[in-house]
Amino acid sequence: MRKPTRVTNDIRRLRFERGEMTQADLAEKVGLTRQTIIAIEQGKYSPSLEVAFKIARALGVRLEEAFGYPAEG
Amino acid sequence: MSFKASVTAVMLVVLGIVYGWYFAQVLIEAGSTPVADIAYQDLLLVMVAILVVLSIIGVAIVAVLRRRESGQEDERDKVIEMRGDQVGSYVLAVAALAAMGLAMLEGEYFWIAHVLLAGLVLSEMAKAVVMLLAYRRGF
Repeated sequence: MRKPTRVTNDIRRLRFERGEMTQADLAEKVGLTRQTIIAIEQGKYSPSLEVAFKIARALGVRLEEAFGYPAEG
Repeated sequence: MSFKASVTAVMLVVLGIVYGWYFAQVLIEAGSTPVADIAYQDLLLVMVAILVVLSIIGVAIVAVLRRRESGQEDERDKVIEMRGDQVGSYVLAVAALAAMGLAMLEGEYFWIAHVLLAGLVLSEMAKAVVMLLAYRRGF
């Protein structure tokens, strides 16, 4: 099945590098439900730009370290 | 499943049971009785009351089971609800046009009322199905 979004992310790895931050911890920090963090990590939902910035900030990285987008072609 | 998705699933089931039962009753009667003689109004009001009670019980159970997430809603829930509303509005528009057609042809009030009711119910159910698919598959 086609992936719902082409936006990729490294949230899972970054969470573990930040002292094994749980999905619930991150969700609380950025004001999302835990299910939305799960959906983002699984590539089932691409968050709004504002939320993407909040997630990157909560993980202590720049936006493009947390999220990626494949080059055309 | 998030709190909102669970509530959506509960509402889909409640709508299906209550209105499934109502339409089965009324349409069976319509098969043997002239529709102008069917006193559906009281039954419909009872069904709406049952729907409200079952919805409250269903949502309360979800709220207890998902205590920690009760009432939580975020941007993904809102976007998913908008997608559901979009599909639901098409269904409602089709029903409204069908009811208008019936009225223009001077159809029975019974059928006009039930086409509108079916439109309302089906639009809510279509919305719920679209939302549950979006929750499950992503978008």
